[in-house]
Amino acid sequence: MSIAAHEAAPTGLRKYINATTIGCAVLFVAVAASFAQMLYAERQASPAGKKVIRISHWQLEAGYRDSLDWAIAEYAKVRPDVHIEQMGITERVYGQWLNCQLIANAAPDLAEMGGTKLVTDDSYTLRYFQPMGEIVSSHPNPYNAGTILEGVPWKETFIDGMRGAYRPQLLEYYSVPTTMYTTRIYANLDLLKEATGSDELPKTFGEYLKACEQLKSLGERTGRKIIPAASCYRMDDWMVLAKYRTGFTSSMEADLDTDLDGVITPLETYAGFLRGKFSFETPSLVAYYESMVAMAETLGRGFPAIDRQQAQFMFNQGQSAFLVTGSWDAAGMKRTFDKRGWRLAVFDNPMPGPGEKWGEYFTGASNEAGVGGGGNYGVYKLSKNKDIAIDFLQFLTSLKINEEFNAKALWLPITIGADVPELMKPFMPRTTGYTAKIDLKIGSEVASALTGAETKLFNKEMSYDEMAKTVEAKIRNPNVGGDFAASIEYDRAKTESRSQERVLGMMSAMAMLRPQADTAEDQLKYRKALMQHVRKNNAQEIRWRFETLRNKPIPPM
Amino acid sequence: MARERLRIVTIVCTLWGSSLATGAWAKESVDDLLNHANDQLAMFNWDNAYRLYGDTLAAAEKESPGPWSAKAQQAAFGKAVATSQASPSSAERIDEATSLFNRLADAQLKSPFAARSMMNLGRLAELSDFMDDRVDIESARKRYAEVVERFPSEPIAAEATYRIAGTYVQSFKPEDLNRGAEICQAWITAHPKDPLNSAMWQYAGDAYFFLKEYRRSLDAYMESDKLGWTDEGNQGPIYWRMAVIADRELKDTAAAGKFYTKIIVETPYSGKAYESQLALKRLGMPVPEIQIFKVPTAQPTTAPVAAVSAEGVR
Repeated sequence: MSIAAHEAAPTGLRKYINATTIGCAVLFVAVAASFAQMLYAERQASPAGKKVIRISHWQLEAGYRDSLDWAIAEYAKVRPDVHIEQMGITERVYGQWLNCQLIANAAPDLAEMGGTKLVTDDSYTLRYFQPMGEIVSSHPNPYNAGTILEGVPWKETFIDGMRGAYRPQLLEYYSVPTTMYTTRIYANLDLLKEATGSDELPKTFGEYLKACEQLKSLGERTGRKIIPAASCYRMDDWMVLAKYRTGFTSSMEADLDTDLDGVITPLETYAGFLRGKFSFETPSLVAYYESMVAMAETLGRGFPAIDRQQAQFMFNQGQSAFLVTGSWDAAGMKRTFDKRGWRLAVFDNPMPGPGEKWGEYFTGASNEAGVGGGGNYGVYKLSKNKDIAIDFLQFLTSLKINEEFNAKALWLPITIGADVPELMKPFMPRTTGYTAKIDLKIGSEVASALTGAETKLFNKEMSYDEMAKTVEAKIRNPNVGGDFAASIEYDRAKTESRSQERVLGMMSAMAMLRPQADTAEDQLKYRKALMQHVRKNNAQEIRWRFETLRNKPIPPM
Repeated sequence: MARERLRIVTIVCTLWGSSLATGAWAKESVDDLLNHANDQLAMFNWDNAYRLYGDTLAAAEKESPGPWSAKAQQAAFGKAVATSQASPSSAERIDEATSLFNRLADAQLKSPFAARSMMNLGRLAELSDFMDDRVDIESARKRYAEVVERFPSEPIAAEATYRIAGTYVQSFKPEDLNRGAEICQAWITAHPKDPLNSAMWQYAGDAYFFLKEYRRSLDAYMESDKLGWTDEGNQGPIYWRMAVIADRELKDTAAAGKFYTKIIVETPYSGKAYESQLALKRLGMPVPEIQIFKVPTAQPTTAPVAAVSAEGVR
């Protein structure tokens, strides 16, 4: 017999006190508590009697969320019946998070567009986001009443005319920009003055390199750890390399841009390379790489290992006098500098001047006239309050609010006529300068070899000749080089043309299946799409140009 | 006993109610299904649309046996479009689409979908949709020509003509490029008010550009410009091409000046406004200001730029 059998059976309430009932009770309490919390959170998020709009973004930089909170509070003054909930999601998971929300039909009413294929791919955009062509093109922004933009169609009130939000394949607008991004160099004027004796910003590349030398000397003299410049994105193509490559190679446009569209594509670069229009010995290309090696040297040895946080840390600690990054980092920098009592300035990437080293090969700065708006928000197609979501976007992009919203975040405004804070003025896009530049990323294999070799060159692990030899061998390799890139591009263009055919197929079908909804604007759009499609010639221009260049058929994929 | 009776009455009522509901649903289903199918097609949900159009077609055929009714034609057309556009494609899908389009194109049916179905048959011939699907330019051209012949005064005739020109131009053989341009110009001459004329002029301009017949190319583009660009807002690169052709190839200073000016004034966002300013300066012509980003800017700290010659930057 077991010992338990000898114990007296519990009576009264005690008979209910055992592991099972305690477990159940704990579980019940936990479930009840979580329900209560959920109801409380829901109530907080959805105040009674108010319509709720959720807005998601990944802009966790200093100042942005506060600034958006301000705009939301201002909006509440004009629309007290609306509650707007801001959802800041870290950039690293924003894409996955938004994917889940979209697939679960539970996406926020307004979502910053990016980070996932469901937002960037046309077929998904169409499914999940509200087309806004009609409202942005035909209606003025009511919140611009009483300003210089009163009565102006909403689209025309943006500095870029909303070009950046246009989806050419879909011939539609699916988002509205709220700001603008460019990249420049931040400077610590106090450290600069300490090193050079002057707080005047370098105006040319030569002056910049000289200042960097003086900063190095200061470090050596004082025993402080000083690396003249830090870069949040290393020797990034958009932020650094392309700006200089334009100045050094735009002069090749006349020889390389065979279709005269003002752009030198990778395949045009390849054709020019094979035809001997330029080589790795061309003085302007040599000068470009020499100058970029000098630029990399200012970032210190081992710069490829320095990431954005480290670069910001170095600048904020006074270990670097210059920081290469974008307009989105201004508020964070300013906050730190104000706290430390240092002076912060921003200047454009300095270019080689006349009489300076490399100056004779340098044509001019790169042009930024084509820069589009950023911080684009799309309206979720299944939102129950699409009209309010659009209304809030109109509010956010109205002259006064956009000016203040961006001033508080220290970002660039996108609305015409909005004042730009003094610190941000150097970030305004440059309308002078050139656009064309050679593009040696001739296909994925060459691009990968080029990036690797350039990194080694800039980090002084490889000589220029070795880099040139490595990249040239890749370009000429029949299996992975330019010929291969041409065949990939041919295939890609054919696929793209086929995708565009689907848009045309849908549009022509809908015109017949729903003729009552086929407006004059739809017909215009169809003609536009048709013309774009026909002019692409089923991608045969790529085949023709390749065959003319190589005198052989384009290799199959 | 009473409970047994109640159960029987309940079952009978349920069956009766269900049959009424089903009848009502069936009565509305063709329109509803068609609407749903159209919604799916508009959202590029080809497979859903295909299934719904298939159901609609079956329901419409049941509702009105014999030659396809108007609703059946809509469903058949939608089904053919959906299956021809679905991805991944297959020989079966294309065969089914071809068969449906052929039936709609049959002159005896007098379907309003006939012209578009014939065009789509041409598109199917011109495209390669799956492995081993051969591009058949000749058949495509024939189909487009049939559209023009059967529906000469319908707007679709212009589109078919445009596509015919495309079948020539895409070979990039000199004689075909010429033929493509001539087809466009012949259409324009015969239909001076057609809304597709600007696109036709632009395409003729492209064909002459590929042929390096720069004067004819520039003239054709200028006609497009006169009529208004079909792809309004994106004419910047074409203006650049026109200006450079006029400047560098034709030494036509007036035309070059005109299009450099248009780049600055009309398409400053193309990025070529500044270079156009330099070109105008070189040509000794008035230089308009670039009117974008009208917000006070800091002076760029860049070195002065070099002059631009007609051959490019030197």
